[in-house]
Amino acid sequence: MASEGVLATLRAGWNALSGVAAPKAVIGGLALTAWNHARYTRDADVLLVSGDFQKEAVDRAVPWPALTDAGDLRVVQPDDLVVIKLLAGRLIDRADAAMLLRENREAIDFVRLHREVVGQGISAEYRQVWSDAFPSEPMPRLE
Amino acid sequence: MPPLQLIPPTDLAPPSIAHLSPRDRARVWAQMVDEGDRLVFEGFLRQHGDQAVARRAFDEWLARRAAEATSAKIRMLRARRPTEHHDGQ
Repeated sequence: MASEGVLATLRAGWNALSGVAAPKAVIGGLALTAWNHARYTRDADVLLVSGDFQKEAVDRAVPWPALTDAGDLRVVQPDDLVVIKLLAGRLIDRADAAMLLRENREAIDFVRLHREVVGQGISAEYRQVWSDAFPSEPMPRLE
Repeated sequence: MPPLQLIPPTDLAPPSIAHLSPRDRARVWAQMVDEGDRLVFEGFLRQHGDQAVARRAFDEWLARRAAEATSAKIRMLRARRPTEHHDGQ
């Protein structure tokens, strides 16, 4: 089964990176599964830290033991995943970001999210996903 | 022209999986991948009528998807560079 192949790839990649001295966490379409939005994806994406935002995102990542038996698997938080998705920029990434907002409202750190949205220059993209996630609510002011 | 709608409104959206356990959510994803692959492959098989040709078309489709996903990731990582920040408004 393809899904088993994806998980085997993730497991092998994760374990292979265990010797790398940089922290890491699962991102991408597969990470959506941890945050209440499952969709077709065969990509097993792992973020290795290379910048300030990424370091914070990986530091804030939470354990994700449900996916594979790779012992210390971690996944980024939904607010960080929203930022990553908006930066990736495809239509499907923006749809993912909208679903993440809708399905994880209680878990999202909106102060951090809004700070990153402004800092990364993705306010326009964020406005669009907000209006789709919560069509009857005006978007909060971004400071 | 109406604004582009990214996701269905809540009353038309597929059922939320938030109530499922993390393990069951992973099962939902696995089922989507396996069923999705089967549907796409059967589409190619119907189109080409030959298993080997359909397999080749399926592999090419996967390669195109992978290339598109890779370029999106590169774009995402490049956006991290301070000199390339823009607000996009």
